[in-house]
Amino acid sequence: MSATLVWVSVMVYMVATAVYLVRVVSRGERWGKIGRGILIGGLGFHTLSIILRWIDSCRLVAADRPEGWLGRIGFIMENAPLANLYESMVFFSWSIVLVYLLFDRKYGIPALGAAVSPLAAMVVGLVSVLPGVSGDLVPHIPALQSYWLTIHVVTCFLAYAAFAISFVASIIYLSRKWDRVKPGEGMSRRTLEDINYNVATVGFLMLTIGIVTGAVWANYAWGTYWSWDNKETWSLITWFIYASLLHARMIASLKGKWMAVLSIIGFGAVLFTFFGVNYLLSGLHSYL
Amino acid sequence: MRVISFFKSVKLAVALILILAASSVVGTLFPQNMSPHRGVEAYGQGMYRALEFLGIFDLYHSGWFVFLVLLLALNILICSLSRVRRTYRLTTWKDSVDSGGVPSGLPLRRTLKIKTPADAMWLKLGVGLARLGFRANPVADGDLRLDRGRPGRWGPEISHLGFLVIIAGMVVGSLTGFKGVVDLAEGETEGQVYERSGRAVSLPFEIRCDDFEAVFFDGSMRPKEYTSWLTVIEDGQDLFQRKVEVNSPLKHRGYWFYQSTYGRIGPAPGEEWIRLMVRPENILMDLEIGKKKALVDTVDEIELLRFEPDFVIGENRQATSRSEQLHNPAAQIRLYRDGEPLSEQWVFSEFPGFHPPADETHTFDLVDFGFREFTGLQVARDPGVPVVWTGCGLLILGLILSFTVQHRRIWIHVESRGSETDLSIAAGARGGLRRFEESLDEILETLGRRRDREEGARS
Repeated sequence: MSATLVWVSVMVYMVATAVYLVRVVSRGERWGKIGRGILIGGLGFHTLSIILRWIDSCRLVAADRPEGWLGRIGFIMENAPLANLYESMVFFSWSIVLVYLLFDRKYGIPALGAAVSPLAAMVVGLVSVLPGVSGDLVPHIPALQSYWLTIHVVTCFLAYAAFAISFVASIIYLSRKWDRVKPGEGMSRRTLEDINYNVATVGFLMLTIGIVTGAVWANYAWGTYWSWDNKETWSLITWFIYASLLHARMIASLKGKWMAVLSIIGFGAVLFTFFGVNYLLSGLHSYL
Repeated sequence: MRVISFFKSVKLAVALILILAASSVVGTLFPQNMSPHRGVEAYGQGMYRALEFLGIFDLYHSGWFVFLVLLLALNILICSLSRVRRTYRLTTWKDSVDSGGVPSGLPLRRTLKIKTPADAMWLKLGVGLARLGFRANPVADGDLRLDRGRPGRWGPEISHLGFLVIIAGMVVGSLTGFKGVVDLAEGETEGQVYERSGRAVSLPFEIRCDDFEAVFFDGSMRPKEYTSWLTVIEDGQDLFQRKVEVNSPLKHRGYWFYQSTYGRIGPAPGEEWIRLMVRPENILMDLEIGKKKALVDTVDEIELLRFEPDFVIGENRQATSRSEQLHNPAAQIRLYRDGEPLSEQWVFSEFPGFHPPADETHTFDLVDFGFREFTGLQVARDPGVPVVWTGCGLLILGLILSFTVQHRRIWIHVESRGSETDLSIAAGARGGLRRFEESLDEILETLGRRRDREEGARS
């Protein structure tokens, strides 16, 4: 049921993509609103699918459910569906849509919808392409039996989602050749630069919290808050790149264009942290 | 002075951050902390020596990497020190000598004539701005300075301080901390642990493993949880017992004990027992060390002489154990006839049927034996950890302040002309002013103004 709903949401995201593309071509703002509505609907299916899987995940180990409400909350947190590549990809896609909709609400960026919706669909689509990704529910191994899992993974993926949006804004920024646009011709480079910066700040804050919560958890589970494991190192590399992006804004010669370039490199580092480390490098994060 | 202005540069910071990022990438491309033997095998003698010289195999602790990190720390420190003064002045209206009026060059500016007396206008404007959270700082008659969100201005300073504190904590940890491991069999007590280099470190107390338990998910070898019950002993007295699991360490006197691995080793001396399959009768028989037992259907007796968990033939062709691990469990048994030793033999768990029958009629297979579970613990002491957490807290607090609280300042100059008032208003902020501009215009709308001249926001 949960898996079916994920695919339903992917279909809905594809429809949203088509509507957003119509908006780009026809320049009709009405299409942007329709696209947003469809995207919200898709997010609804997606959310429901994650909740259903969460319930299944809790049921799987229901025998170990502790007493007391505090213990119950900890138990539910521990068993969030975030413990393998399939679950994290589904959550990554969900975060991208959610974060995009929040930023769209704040800044009004329907132009990014035509790129963000297919990106969200593609992330889930990758699940069926990548080797060794299984949607089977399995109980968590001891190292993952901690509520830190949820805090750490959620903050990291919200960061990745924000970086994805900053990436899309940067791509559009670099493809724009003009500085000022006439009304109805889309966003100016100036606006795109602001969006890139603002979204990157949110991503940077989330990534910082994600890395710190990961360190707190590592200190509990492995006895050291930082062990230069490949995944840790790559998350730090990503952090460095976005730190330089935020500071680049203060340097006239790096402002704008180089910020967009750093955002694109940064998102490459995000993807490598997520996929590359698992497929190409070894490390302590072998389970994810 | 030139050195200071070099280190004050944001460009240097960006360059150092990107160099650190690139160096960190290199560290993930080469295996870290590999043994020289394997290194030479993988890269060849010359290449390995060269990479080793560059610190590639322990890159994150190499001199040049640490140097780069400290350089960045110095850069941030000097940048922050030079900013602190400016930030202090900006948040306390001391950044310029205020001679009244409205300064030029601010991103938001409005000049208007209002058809109400100054007093009534002040009231409306003051209430409106107070509702937006602005605090007033009167300067002189007709001049008012307001601001809000001062903590936001301190955000970058706080997060940079946090970064420096984290580095300080890491330095403290690497200078005074230590990491080690200890394997404890059930019932065993240890007062020392071992560093990765093999060096033994004495603890100021002792630790005993009372019990160990591994639970697996039904029908699989997938571990569900493993648990040790550890007792801390000081001066020969049991202090307390604590259950230690993965994700739930024991802490005592700054030492943290983590559940890391587990396994099985041979039994404690004097507690050895074995289970033999006696053939051809196919009867199971348990033997405890040092206790003779009658062999099935005969008047003969059998005794377990010794048990070796990792049997090897050592020096002088003596049987011995290479380790306590159960790599090659073997038992030596002796048969007696009429109370006199008849024969001796070794039986092996891994190699059944290795020896000919001892009394020409019976053969023995070693099918089970006593063992102890041991728990593999990681031990760490890192006085830098609280410092690092303080730094992380400051870093996150600073980022939240920087990104969510905007310091906005307003300059107001008023000239009263009887029943009319001339109002000049200007505002500046860290970051954009778009939203504030809307709110300000809403307030100005209520003043019953007569719009004369208006300059749009330049930001």
